[in-house]
Amino acid sequence: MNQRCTNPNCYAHDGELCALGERDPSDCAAWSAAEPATVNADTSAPSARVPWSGGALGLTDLANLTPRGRHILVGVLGAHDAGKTTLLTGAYLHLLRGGELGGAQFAGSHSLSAWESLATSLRFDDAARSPTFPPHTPRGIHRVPGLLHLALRGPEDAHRDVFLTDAPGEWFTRWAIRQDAPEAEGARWTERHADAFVVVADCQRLSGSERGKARNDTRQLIERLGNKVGRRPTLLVWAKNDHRPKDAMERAIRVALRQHIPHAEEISTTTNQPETLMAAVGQIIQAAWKVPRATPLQEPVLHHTPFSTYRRRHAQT
Amino acid sequence: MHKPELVLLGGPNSGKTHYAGQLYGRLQNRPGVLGLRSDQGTPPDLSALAEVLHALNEGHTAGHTPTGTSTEVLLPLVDERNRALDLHWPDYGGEQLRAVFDERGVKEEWRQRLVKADGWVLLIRLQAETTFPDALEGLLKSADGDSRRELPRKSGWDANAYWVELLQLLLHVSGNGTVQRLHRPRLTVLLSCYDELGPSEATPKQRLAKKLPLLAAFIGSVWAPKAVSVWGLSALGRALEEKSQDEAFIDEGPEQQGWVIPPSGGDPDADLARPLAWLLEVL
Repeated sequence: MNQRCTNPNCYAHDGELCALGERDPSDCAAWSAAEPATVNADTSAPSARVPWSGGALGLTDLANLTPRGRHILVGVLGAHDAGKTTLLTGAYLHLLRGGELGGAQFAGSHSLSAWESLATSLRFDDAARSPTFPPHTPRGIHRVPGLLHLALRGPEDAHRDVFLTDAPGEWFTRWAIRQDAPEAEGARWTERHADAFVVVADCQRLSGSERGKARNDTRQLIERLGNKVGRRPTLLVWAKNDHRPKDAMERAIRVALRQHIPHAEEISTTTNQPETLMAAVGQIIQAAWKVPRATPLQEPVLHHTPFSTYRRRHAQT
Repeated sequence: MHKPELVLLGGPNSGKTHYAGQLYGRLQNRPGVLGLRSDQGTPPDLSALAEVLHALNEGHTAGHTPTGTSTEVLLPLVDERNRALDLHWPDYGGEQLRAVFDERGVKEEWRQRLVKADGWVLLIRLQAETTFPDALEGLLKSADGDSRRELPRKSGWDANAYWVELLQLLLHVSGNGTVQRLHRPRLTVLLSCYDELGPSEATPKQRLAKKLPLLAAFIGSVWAPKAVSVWGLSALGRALEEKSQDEAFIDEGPEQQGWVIPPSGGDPDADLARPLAWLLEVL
């Protein structure tokens, strides 16, 4: 198919569903407006397609899933090689063995190809890496930054679409140093839209020769997130916990955490015990499962009159 | 008269054609919960089953159904309560299902069938499915960054992910959302060549969950519990070869061979039509 659709959010030319829902793209005005190309004589091609490629989701892909029900976007933050990928892989492999995440059962995924790529431990393709999430990820085995999707069915039959960010650590390192860094567009998007956060601290680096720099990077990231996090659930993951940082090192990070994100919880993970990886992902999903209640409005008492007393008493019932 | 339609979903070598042949033999010669209507006589067109019926009567298996095949046998049925049903039993080359996965879409003809179907029959041959459970520890270590050695699992999807993606594709193109549990189409999972798995106390559902846990979880969270059932199926009762001459098949007839294990487990049941009767009973 040589013709490209004129709608920038449509990928019908890549063999996917027309963004406006036409089964035959030639019925769509945006498609007809494109330059005519050679006629495709293959009548045996599929006519009903799906709007997802199986790869990590891009930002326009989200629009296909978010209207169908409640969703949870989890920002997975951490430096390069901190263990973010391991955390995500561990969660998928756990589901692959029939496990649950945060008390919820697997109910589908629109990014199975990306999960399978993770399971085969494909690394980000450096040449293809851009500083933000792509609008749409095409089919293929290359790993690109994006959102990994899981549909989960939890207690009381509740359904949630869970999106986990799968992004290069450099985005967050740059963002921690400079909030408006051009290379950190994806990190800013994550901070603005996520419902919950996982911050991954790399115990191996925190106990290695570069531990001073590692401590500083982790603290900077916590501080940066602390400015914006509000009341959103946050989990600090001590990854690669088979390496033990010195007490002073842990203490310094905890002080920063208590100061900037006081409601944050902590958990330790290690690949020696794969169940710790799924416990971490399960914990943050569970924390974000129920939408937090809005802060109740406090009506100030302006003056004391019998009428106001009457109204107030009944207003509270 | 209600004319239920079923969609038969099975990959290459999953035993679709043999099941169809054996099912016809049962309906004709050993009626159980379902039988052929006597007023109609023999179905008008048996060409789709001709080869398999011939092969089984000779005591060997039929050849592979050609990829491009797409035929249908009309089976005029009657159930135990004397209700008449016309069942269109489709037969096609299993590669067509693989093509749905590869091309991420279905042809209009398939889509129409999926939309109209009252029940889906999913044939899975557990023994032939490839999963990667043993690679788990190695994968985790590799992802950790310490060792970046090449892993054996370089190509191909885990069978769990393959079947989940395929079902998601089929559900989407047939207009079935998965946020609410599905009551229609009802789903019957037939674990074909069940004799290959050896004897076990476990129910077919438990055996599916053991071999393909992600798929079992997906089916369990997408369909309403009453709308899905998992059966063990051995259409032939034993392994036949393409050149074998099994005497039991020749002497007693293929209709005496083959069995299903009901969803609750237990002893083999010779009535191969039971899974279909389950699909049709509330239609």
